[in-house]
Amino acid sequence: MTATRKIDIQSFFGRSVSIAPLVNFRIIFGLLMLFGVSRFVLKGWVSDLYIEPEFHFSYYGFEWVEALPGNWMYLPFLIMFLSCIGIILGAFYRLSTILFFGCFTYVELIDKSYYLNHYYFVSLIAFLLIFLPANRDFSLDVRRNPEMFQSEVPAWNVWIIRFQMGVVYFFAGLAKLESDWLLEAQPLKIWLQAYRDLPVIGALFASSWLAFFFSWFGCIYDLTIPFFLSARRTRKIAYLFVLIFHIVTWLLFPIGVFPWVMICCTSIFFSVDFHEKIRGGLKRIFRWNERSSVQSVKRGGKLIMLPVGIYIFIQLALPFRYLAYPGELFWHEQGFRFSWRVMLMHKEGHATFYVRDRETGRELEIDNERFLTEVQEDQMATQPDFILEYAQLLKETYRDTVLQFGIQSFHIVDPEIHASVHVSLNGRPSKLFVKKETRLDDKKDNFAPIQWIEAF
Amino acid sequence: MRSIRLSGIFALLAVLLLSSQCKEKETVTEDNFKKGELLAQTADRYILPSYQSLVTSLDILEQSWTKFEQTRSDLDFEQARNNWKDAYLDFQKVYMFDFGPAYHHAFVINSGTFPSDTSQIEQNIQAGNYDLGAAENYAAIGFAVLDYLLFDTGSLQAMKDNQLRRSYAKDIIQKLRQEALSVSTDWSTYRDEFVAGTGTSSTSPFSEFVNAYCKNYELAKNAKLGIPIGMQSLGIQRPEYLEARNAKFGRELLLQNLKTLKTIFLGDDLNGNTGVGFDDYLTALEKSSLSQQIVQAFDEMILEVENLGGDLEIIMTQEPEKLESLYAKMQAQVVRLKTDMSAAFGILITYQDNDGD
Repeated sequence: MTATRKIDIQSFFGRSVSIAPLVNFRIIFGLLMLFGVSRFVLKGWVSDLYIEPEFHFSYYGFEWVEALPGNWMYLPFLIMFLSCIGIILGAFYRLSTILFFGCFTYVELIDKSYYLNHYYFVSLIAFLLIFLPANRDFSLDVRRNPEMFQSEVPAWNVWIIRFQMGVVYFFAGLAKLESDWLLEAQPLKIWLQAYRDLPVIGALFASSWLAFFFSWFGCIYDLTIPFFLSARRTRKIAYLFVLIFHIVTWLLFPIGVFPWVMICCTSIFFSVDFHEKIRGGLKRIFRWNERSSVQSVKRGGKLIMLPVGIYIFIQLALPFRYLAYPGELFWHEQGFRFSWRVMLMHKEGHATFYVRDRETGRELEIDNERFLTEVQEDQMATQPDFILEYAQLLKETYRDTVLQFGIQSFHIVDPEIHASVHVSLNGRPSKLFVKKETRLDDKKDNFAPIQWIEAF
Repeated sequence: MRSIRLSGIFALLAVLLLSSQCKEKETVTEDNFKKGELLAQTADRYILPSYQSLVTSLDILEQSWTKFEQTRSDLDFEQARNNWKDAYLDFQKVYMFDFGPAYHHAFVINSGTFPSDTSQIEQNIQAGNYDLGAAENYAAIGFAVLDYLLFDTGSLQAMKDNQLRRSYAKDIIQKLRQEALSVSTDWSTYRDEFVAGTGTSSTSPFSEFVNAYCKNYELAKNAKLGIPIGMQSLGIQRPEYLEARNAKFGRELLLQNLKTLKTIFLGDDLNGNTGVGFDDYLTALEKSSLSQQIVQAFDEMILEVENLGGDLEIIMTQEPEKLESLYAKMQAQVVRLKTDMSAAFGILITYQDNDGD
């Protein structure tokens, strides 16, 4: 029984399928990213987020990643722009995908204040594209070198992208199976009531039942949509829901290009026939002459399946790492990132930091604006790892420093860092998050459960 | 196989949905509160008349100064000083609206920067010509300059003796008036945009208003009290940072600032008639206890400042613990306003993409 099933799986994912879905995906993804990168630059965010801030919050293990000096920060964006064109045209495809993945991920790693699930999603897709032969048809690479042409690919090449999309949805759905979302309709209640002034439908937004409806609909949608998209019978109606769902979220929430990324990328679930029609149409428009002969598919042997298996395992396991941490996930946020927990929290905090001179016990209150941007301060005030990193920055800034106050001066030899932090989660009254007595500069950020924040 | 499991999950969720909907009591938030009404009332009943009253106060100050220039009498000097105090109090009623026209004109920086740069002022007076709009003069303009020119020891004699000094004061007053008038005039057109600005983005007038409100509160706490009493300098007091130090008027300004914050919170008008304010929005969101806490804290602070009496600088040296306890009270209120209230309103502080994590 298990033996036959094993063969089934191997033949299902190893069999040859048309390359068309992969080719179309390459073009769609490249276009979306070209738009996304241009939008980011034109909105002035390169400067606001990466050039102006003097300090960046780094990811654990990536402390060595630093922003480029001054306007050099535009360089990775220029490279991304060019590599997107390379991806769209299928020109120097391997190089283009490597450059795009490298630059995009580099920029994301500079500062975790800007972490968004959909940026992580882009990095993953870009990473996968490096290894997928999406340039083997209808590309400049094939035009230059017809030998490269391939009409078919192993089915797993397409399924790995479907898997990745499915993971995003399914885990986003799993994450919604919690009481704030289902029983309190939070944080949607907070966000939707803000639309209370809309003419006619404003009252609907101010009432809580719309928030409940959206919460439950969103949860069911996320959990089921990858399966309904995968099945041929339900695909059309499922895609209609994809359109409705993402357009509504796009209208209501400031989530940038993400809805359009999902609307476009879910087309990978469409049938081969559909994709071949699209590709055919594109080829006609661009007067593409088939000059290449049909090449046989390079089948992925065990050597390929092993890294693919590892990748799949990591994707499935990573969102569950929160189980290793006791306490309320939304409170301590250990294991929160990289888990497709989207739109689940409305967390607002206020952190007042104190530099205490150990010798005299004298204290000085920190004006966070001097060190952090508004976005950074906002993120810092609710997340323990940010709080520790900021404490280290303050410790370094004030260690063995002579401060001049008018005619008086004060020498801080050995500063201790403390903070009084209050956090409000999903509409609850704010609670003490870190008490002032807790010393922060001697705490290390690591994977051990956090003991130093107050209980939820 | 798969479809069975799927429909199973689906059915399970559907049942959960129905049962929870049935059990759910009417926790409906009050849906008749409109942000537009709050904005309209605040604009019409507070902001517009406050700007007009500031312009009027500055008119009066300008007149009394002109009179002093002619008479150079002690009495008229005293009159100008009092008119400056009135206008400065009026400024406390508008400087929190640091968005829209005020932001556009850099009104708060141009009029409200303190302490002033006395050496720059003296340099300007000696030179006799100066560009008050120039960057290097940012601390040589505004209300704080008059605190120095009108209240510093020997200021009356210096004014009597020096025509350049008198005309510098005159230029400062005229600039103050001009700035206030520009903002006041622009508000009459901006008013409709403000009232319609009920959107949820960080750049919508409602968000700007709430964010400016919280910032103003923090500014009052830090600049008017915290920094002078040494909160940011290891307890080393810094009286040179007191607002209106020479006039010994900082306590009255802090008091007016706090009263204004409370008035705006309640949506009251200039005469204390009640209207639609943040408190009503919080009530609509079933957070009336938060609203009560905020009002109570404001009342306590205001009472404490009133009971302080006298000059902050003297209290700083004689009873610093009184100011430290006031500061602690103000600090606790920051959390209520910035964290609880802003979170309840669903205000965004950033214009960047956000997926709520």
